[in-house]
Amino acid sequence: MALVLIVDDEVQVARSIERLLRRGGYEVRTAQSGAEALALLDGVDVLLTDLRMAGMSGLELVAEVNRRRPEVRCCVMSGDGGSAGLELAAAARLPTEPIIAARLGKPFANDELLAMLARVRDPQGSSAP
Amino acid sequence: MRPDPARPGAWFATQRDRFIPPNLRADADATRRARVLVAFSMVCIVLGCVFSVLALVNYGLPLVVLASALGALASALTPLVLLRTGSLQVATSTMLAVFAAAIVGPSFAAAGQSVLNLPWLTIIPLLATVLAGPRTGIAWGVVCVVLAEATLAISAAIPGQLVLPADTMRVAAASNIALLMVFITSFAVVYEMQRRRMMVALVFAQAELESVRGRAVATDRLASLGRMAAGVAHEINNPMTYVSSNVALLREDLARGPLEPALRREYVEDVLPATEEGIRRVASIVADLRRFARGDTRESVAIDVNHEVQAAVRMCEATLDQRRVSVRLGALPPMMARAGEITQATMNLVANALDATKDGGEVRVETEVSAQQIVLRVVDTGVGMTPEIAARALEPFFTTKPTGEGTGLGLPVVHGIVVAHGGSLRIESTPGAGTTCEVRLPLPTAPSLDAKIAS
Repeated sequence: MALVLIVDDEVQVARSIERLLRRGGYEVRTAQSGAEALALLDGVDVLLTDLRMAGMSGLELVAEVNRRRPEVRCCVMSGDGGSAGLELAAAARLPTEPIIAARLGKPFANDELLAMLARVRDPQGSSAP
Repeated sequence: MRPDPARPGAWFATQRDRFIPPNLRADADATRRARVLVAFSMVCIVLGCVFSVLALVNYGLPLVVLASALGALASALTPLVLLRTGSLQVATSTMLAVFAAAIVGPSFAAAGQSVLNLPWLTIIPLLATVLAGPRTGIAWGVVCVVLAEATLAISAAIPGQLVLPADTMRVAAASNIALLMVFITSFAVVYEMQRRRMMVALVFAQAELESVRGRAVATDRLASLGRMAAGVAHEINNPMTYVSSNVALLREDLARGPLEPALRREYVEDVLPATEEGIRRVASIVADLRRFARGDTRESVAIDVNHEVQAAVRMCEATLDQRRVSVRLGALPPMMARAGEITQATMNLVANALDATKDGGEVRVETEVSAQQIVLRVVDTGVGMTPEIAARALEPFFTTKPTGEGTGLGLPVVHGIVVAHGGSLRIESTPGAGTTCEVRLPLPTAPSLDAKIAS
């Protein structure tokens, strides 16, 4: 069973995703900040983080997770409605470029999220979680 | 304008307008003066001819005939000079010079015949004032008084010329004084007319200014909406994420059949309240946006400035990142204002303060009542402005932000809004230490409040 770590400073977002993923057969941890997430990294297969958070930003978190645990697949979600410019500018300030496996715009349909996780877990699309 | 047989005035107007030079047609005031000049000339041609004939036939006075004929000639020349030179001043001066000569010349040549014509000189400064303005009027007034006095003095000094009795001379001297009085009075009247016309022009100019200000406010509002779009989308999309996810899950669960008690309790006590809270959040963001977008209503309503400040801060919150806004609101009495504009002004000030503030910094927003004024202060400890930049801060389109990020309308629009509400904007800035913007809005006393609403 895959372990997903959900990071969002909006507690209800994290909880609704948690409920959905548990139904979908995932193991789930939630964190409300980047710092909290870094403490919960053990055994995590997929990181799903919001981009815009107080404190450590989503991109900073992804870069740090890449450094500490390169095998973790990192997905980002954002409610900015496609402000790719801001995101690029933020990424340019990081020491290493964050490696992002997939991204998702908020709000998303439940199926979209599940399909994205399945794809990230298994790029060949051969097995269920 | 085609001549209309039913209206004799139309033919007259057509003929008159043929002599308005093209360069004056664009200027309504110059066109009006030129029309007066040409119309007056046309009347004078007729009057001059009639007087000449009357004087010749009835009295056989050759000098009066000469004066009337000269007057008619001057009147005939004037429209032609006007058309040729395109200058009201030149045409007016030509007419008045020939007029003066026509009146004074014969009087000087034979005081006995027409020294009593001298009071007619009064008409010259009056005409000059109407046609070419008060300054020309004054100049011609002086010229005419000097001419009249000189004519009398010279007539009296030449032996044999003056055949009038002393009584008549006193009448003539008195009429000179009357001339002066009439001139001064007429000048005053015309001056007053001009002043009123300028007041009207001023009112129009103010209306124009107000409409330009309105357009700047609207442009800035659109730009602010654009700047906020990402932040507002974030604020709406977060709750929408769990609202839609929760609702979709509920539908799936219900589709499978009756809910198990534990799951039902989870929905009722946890999931659905959270969902409702999310919907309320989206609704309140939309309400803030509406509050902001309704800036297009021009009417002032009684508002609590604190509400507008809170809405403005909420809308800026989406763009905070690692910065903080602390709000300290004092109790404020209601004031008459255009609510959307107050929100907009506050938002511009807070957005500027945030732009100047680095991550980890704080922007303070405060309101209070002081000295019968509502005071709104936005304080940052950011980069500040040099005196050179501060001096240009209220200049429209002046911006220090990169192309595409600042419109240069933010502070000018704040200033415009504040001034339109009868208030003032003060900006204090120290490079490296931060900027304080202070808006002061007057709290109107009861009677002037009514006057403001009425106007």
